Amino acid sequence: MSNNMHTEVKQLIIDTLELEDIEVNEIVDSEPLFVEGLGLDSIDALELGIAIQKKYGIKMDAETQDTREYFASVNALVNFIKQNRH
Amino acid sequence: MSYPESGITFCIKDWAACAPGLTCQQDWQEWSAGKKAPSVDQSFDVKQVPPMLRRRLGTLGKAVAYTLCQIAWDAHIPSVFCSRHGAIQQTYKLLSDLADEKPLSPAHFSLSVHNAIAGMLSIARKDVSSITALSAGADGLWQMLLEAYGQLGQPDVEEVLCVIYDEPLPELYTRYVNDTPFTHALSFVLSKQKDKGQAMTLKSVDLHHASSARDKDTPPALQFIRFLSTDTLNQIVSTGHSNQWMLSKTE
Repeated sequence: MSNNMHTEVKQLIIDTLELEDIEVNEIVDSEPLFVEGLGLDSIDALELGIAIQKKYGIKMDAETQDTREYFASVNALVNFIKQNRH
Repeated sequence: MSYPESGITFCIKDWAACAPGLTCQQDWQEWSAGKKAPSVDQSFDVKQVPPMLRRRLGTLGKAVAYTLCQIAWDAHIPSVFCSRHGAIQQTYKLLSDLADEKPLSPAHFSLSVHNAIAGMLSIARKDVSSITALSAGADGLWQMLLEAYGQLGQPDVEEVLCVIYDEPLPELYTRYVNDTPFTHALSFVLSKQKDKGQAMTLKSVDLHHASSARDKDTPPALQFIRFLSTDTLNQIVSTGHSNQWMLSKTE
């Protein structure tokens, strides 16, 4: 179940951010998504925020410091979605 | 604005054009002769653009990148980018989402300015030279040549990179304007040195003066590619907004 959720979030990242050359198994659960690791940027964060809102009905607050932590890695993002989805 | 009676003279040093299935000068010679048509395959190999930037270029941006890879990837010279409609397919998608009250894609929104393709490719090319982004209706090609020629008048500017590109309009708009039969991009280097490449003279003539309307369904950028690809073609005349433009190959 947990693995499925990880795969689902990775696929969401790939589809939303048009990462045409990257496959699900190339994204490491614990690695940073932004700057290092996958190398995403601030526009990607906004794009991903909207995709998560659309898919899981969770609205993220761009102003809080916590948002940075939710986006830290696939693991963090999966935990965040699990805790907040209805 | 007035132009000198004798017109302006410049040289086209290098050029590269690209459309689906038409990616080298040989292809364009065949297209000009009516022997080759664009294909449906819209992919262009632009490996020189880093993957994280490449994903943000749509088909049009990739077509532009492809032509720059051919002639000017490492040329750090001022540039003039010109497009009548810009990345209109992406703009249309944004406007549709807005009309449907859907959230806008931040990535697409951030690239919805007219100089987005020029800006992204300047990052990819690590080029900090000045960039001008023009849109001048059906007169784009001619206004781009005038702008680039003007920039050649500045001290220390020997060459200017010119890039012109467009893609077909979404169906909703085609009843108003339908001037782009297929996605295309053309890049060339304009030089003031007569010994570099093909010399040309551009003149503005009165509307009633010239008569050739043969090419009125072909956008000027594509007419210009045909002009560059065909040795036997020495002059093109194109109807602009308020005058006609006459471009001639000169010695």
